[in-house]
Amino acid sequence: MTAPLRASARYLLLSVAALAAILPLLWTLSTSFKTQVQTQTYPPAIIPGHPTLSNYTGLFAAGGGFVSSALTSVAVAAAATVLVLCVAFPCAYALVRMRPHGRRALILVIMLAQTVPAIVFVIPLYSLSLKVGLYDTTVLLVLVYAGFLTPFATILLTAFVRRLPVEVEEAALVDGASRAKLLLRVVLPMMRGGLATAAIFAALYAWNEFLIPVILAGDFTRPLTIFVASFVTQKTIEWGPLTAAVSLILLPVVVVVLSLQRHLVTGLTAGSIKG
Amino acid sequence: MEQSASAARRSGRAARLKVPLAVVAVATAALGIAACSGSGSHGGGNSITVAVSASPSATALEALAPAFEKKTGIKVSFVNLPYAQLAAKVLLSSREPGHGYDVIQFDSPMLASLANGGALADIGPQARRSASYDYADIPTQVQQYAQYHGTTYALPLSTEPYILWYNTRLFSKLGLKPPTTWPQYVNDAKKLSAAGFYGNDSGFGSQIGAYYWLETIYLYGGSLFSGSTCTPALSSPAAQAATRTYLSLLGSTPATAVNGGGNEMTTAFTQGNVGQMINATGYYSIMADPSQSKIPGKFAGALPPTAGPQGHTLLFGWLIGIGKNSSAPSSAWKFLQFALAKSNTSTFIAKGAPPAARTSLLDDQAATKQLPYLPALIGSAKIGVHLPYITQMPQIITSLSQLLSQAATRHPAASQLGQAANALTSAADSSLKSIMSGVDSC
Amino acid sequence: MATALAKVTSRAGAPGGQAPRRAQGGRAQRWAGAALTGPVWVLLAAVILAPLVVAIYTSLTNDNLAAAGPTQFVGGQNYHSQVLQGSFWQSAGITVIIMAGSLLVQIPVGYVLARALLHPLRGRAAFRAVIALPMMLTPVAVGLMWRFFADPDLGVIRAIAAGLHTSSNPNLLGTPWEALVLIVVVNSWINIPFVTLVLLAGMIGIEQELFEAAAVDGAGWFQVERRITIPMLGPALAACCVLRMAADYRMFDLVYTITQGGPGTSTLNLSMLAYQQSMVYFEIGRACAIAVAMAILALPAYWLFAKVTRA
Repeated sequence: MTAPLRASARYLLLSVAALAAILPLLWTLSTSFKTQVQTQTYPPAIIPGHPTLSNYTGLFAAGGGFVSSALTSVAVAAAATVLVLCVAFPCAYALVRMRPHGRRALILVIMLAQTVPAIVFVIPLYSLSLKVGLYDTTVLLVLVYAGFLTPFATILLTAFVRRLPVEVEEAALVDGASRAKLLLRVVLPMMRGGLATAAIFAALYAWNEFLIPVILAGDFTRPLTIFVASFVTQKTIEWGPLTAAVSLILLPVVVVVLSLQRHLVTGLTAGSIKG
Repeated sequence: MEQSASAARRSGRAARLKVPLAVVAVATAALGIAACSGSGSHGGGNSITVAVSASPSATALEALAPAFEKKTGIKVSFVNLPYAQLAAKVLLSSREPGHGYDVIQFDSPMLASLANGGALADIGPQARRSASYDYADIPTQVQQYAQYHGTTYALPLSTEPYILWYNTRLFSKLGLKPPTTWPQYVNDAKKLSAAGFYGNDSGFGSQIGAYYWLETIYLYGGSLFSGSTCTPALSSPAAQAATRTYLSLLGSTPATAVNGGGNEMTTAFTQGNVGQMINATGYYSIMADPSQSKIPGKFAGALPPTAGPQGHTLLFGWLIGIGKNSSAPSSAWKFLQFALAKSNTSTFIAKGAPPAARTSLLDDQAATKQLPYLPALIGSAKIGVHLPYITQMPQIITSLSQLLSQAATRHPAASQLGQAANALTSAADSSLKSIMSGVDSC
Repeated sequence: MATALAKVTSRAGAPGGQAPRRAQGGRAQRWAGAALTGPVWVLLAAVILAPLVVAIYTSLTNDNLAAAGPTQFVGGQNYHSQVLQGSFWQSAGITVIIMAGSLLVQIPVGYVLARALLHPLRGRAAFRAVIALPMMLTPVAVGLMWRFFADPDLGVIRAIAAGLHTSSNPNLLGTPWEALVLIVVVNSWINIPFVTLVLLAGMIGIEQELFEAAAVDGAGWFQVERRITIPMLGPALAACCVLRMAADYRMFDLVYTITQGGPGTSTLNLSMLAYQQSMVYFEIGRACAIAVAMAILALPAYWLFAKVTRA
C-alpha cells in the first residue's frame, strides 16, 4: 500500500471509530436538554425542538446532593488510585524480576479477585466494616476499591515491567544501587507509560464502581454512581436528570484522562540508555 | 556523559514527581472535605433516619418533614436507597444491632422477607390506639395488605390496585365503552388493532412480567395457590383460560411492553396509540403530567374486567414501617402518625403520590377532583387481594416471569394458543412445586 | 528475512522470548521480593481473602437474609441444588459465549485502532481522545442508554433500521440471540478504548528503529505486524486478553441494566445468577455456592495469570 493510501485508510478507520464512540454520547448530551416526553418520542430528534435547562438546574437545587456526590467520587477515586499504584508497582516489579516467596499464592488470590463476582465479597465486607466501624465512610470505599483494583493494576503493570530492558537494572545494581533506589530512580521513570495507563484505568474503574458503594455506603457517603442510580425509580427512568448528571460527570473525567494520557505518549524511552 | 545523564534523570524525576504529588494533594484535600461532610449518624432520641425509595411518596414525606420537625423538635434525615437493593440493604442493616433504619419505606413484595427476617417492628397496637391515624378508616383489604401472619408490620403509604386504564380519545373515535367482561376486552382489543392502534398493553418481561400475567389470572377467578395451601393452582380452568387470553393478546401489545413490565407498559400507553392497559393506579401522576406524557386528559380509569364474581384484582402500593432495630421507635412512630394523618393526604396528592386508601377519601371533594380515578380506585380496592406474603415470592415471580418471557419469544400463532398456554401453566406449576417443596404454610 | 531487520530485532531481543533471566539471584532476593509484595498482601487479605473465606463457609450454610431462625450448617446441599443443575451450566455456557464474543471483537478492533494511532498523523491526539470516551461513562448509565437505544418502539436502533429497510422492526431485547449480540456489542463499545490504550502504550515502547529497518527492507505491513509488532507487544497483549477475559467472566453491570438476564434466561450469565440468589432471593448461602463454583471453574485461568506475570 502506498503511503497516501495508507494514511487515508487510517483516517477512514479512525473516523468510523470516533463516530461510533461519540454518537451515543451525543445522544446523552441531546437528551439532557429534553423533557421526558420529548425523549420518549419516536422518531428520536437529534436536536431537541424546545431545549430546556431544567434538568441541569434541578441537579444543583438545594438538597440535590450532586455536588457532594461529585466531591466524594473525586476524593475516593483519586485516593484509591494513588494507593493502588503505590502498592501495585513494587508488587508487579517483584513478581516479574524476583521470585518472591508466596508468589504462587499471590497469583492465585489475584486470579480469584478477578473471577469471583463482586457481590460475594461485598456482603461479608458489610458486616466486617460495621465491626471495624468504617461502614459508610470514604475511607472504607478507598480501601475496598483499592483492594479490588490492585489485582487488575498488578497484572497490567507486570506487562510493562516485562518490557523493560533488564540490562539497565543490572547495570544500576552493579553500580551499587540499593533495591529501593533501583525501583524509584531507575525503574519508575522507565515505567511512566505503564503507570499512567494503570492510573487511568484504576481511576476510571473506581469512578464508575456501583455495587460496592450500594452495599457498603450510600446512606451519607454517596458517590456519583449511586446519585445517578437514584434517577431510576420504581416506576420510571428520569432520562433528563440522568443524562444531565452523566454529561456533567463526563467533563472532569475527560480532563483528567486527557492529562494523564500525555504521559502515555512520552513512552518508555526516557531514562533508558542504549549502549 | 554520565553527568548529563544523571542531571537529566534528576530533572526528569522532579518533573515526574509533580504529577503524582499533585494527585496526592488533591486526593487528601477532597478526602478531607468529603469525610467532614460525609459522616452521618443513626438515631438517638432526637433524630430519626427514614429510608425511602425515589418516588412521589418519598417526595411527599420529605415535604412533610419540616412541619414535623417544627412541631416535635425531632430531626428527620432521609436516606435514598435504590429500589432494587432496598430490601437487601434493610435486611443487612437490621442484622447489626444499632444500625437499623428508624422508618422504612418499602414495597409489598418485600414485606414477607423483611418481616420474617426481623427487620420490622409490630406497630399494630399503636396504629389501633391512635386517634389521629384512625385505623378504622382504612378498608379491611388494605389493612390486611400491611399484615404478615396477622401482625401489622407496616402502614399503607399508598394504595395502588391494578385497574383498567383506557384512552378516551381512541375509545370515542371507535365508539367503544370500557369493557366489564373479558370477551368485551378482547373484542375491544381486536377493533383497536384493526384500526391500526394497540388494543392491549401487557408485560412479558423476564423479571416482572409475571405480575401482569397473575393479574389476569386473578381477574379470571384463578389464583397462585389453592385456597390457603401451598399447592400450585395455575393449571386450574380459570388460570388456563386466563393464560390463553393473555398469550392471545401478544400480537396487539407494543413490543416495548413485551420486553418489560409496568414501567414500559406505561411508557407505551403515554404515547397515545394504546387503547387499553391494566396497570397500577400509581402511574396516574406520570400519565397526567404533560412533561412525561402525551395523553393528559385523554385517558380514564375503570374497574378491570372480571370473569365472574370470583374475580379479584391485585393490590400494590408502598408500605411504611418502623425498623425493629431502631434506636428511637417512639420518635419514629410519631413521624409515621404525623405523616399518614388524614389531614396530610392533600400533600401526598399534591406531590403526585397516590394516597393510602381511606373510606373517608370518597367524601373528600378536593381529592375526588384531583384524582378522577378515585371511584375506580376504591372499587378495585374492595375486590383487591395481595399476592401471598411468603419469603419465596421473589423467586416465584422471577421464575414465572422467565417462563412467560420465554413463551413470548416463541410468538405462538392463534391455533397454537391452547397448547402454548397449557405448556406455560404446567411449566409454571412444576416450578412452583419445586420452589415450595418442604414449605407448609402459605 | 533481510539482514537489516534481523540484526535490529536480535539486538533488541524479544521480551519474554529471552531465557527467563533469574535476576540477580538467591534467597535474599526472594525475601526482598516478598517484602515488596507485602503491602498488596495486606490489602488483599483484608478485602479479598477474608470475605472469600467467609463466603466459602457461608456456602455450606443455609444463610438467608429473610429467614427467621438461626443459620444452619447444611454441607454440600447448596452445591447440589445450585451447581449440579442444568441452569448453572446453561449460565456457564452463556458466560462463555459472552466472553468469546467479546474477546473476538475487542482484541482485533483494539489492536487495529492502536496501530492506526501509533504513527504520527494529523489530528491523532483528537482521535485518541474521542475514541477513549466510551470508557469514561458510568457503566450503569451506559447500560440504560443502550437498553433505550434498543427499545423496539422508541429506540434509535429502530430508527436506523427503518431508515435502511422500512419494514424492519427489530426487537433485540426480545430475541434470545440478538440480546446476546447486543450485550457483546455494548461490552465491546465500552472496553475497546481500554484495549486500544493498553496496546498503544505497549506499541509506543517498540523502538522506532525496528520499523525503520523494516521499511528499509521493504517489508509488507503484514510481515511488519507478524515479525515486529505482535512479538514486541507480547506482554501487553497477553495482559489485555487475560484482564478482559476475567472481567467478562464476572460481568454483571451490563447484563443487569440491559437485559436483566432476559428474554427468558437467554442472557442470564453466572454473575447474574449469583446476584439473583443473593439480592433478589436473599439466599446468601446459595449465592456463595455459585460463586465458589465460579472460582473453581475459573481455576485453569491461574495458569494464564501465572504465565502473564512471569519474567
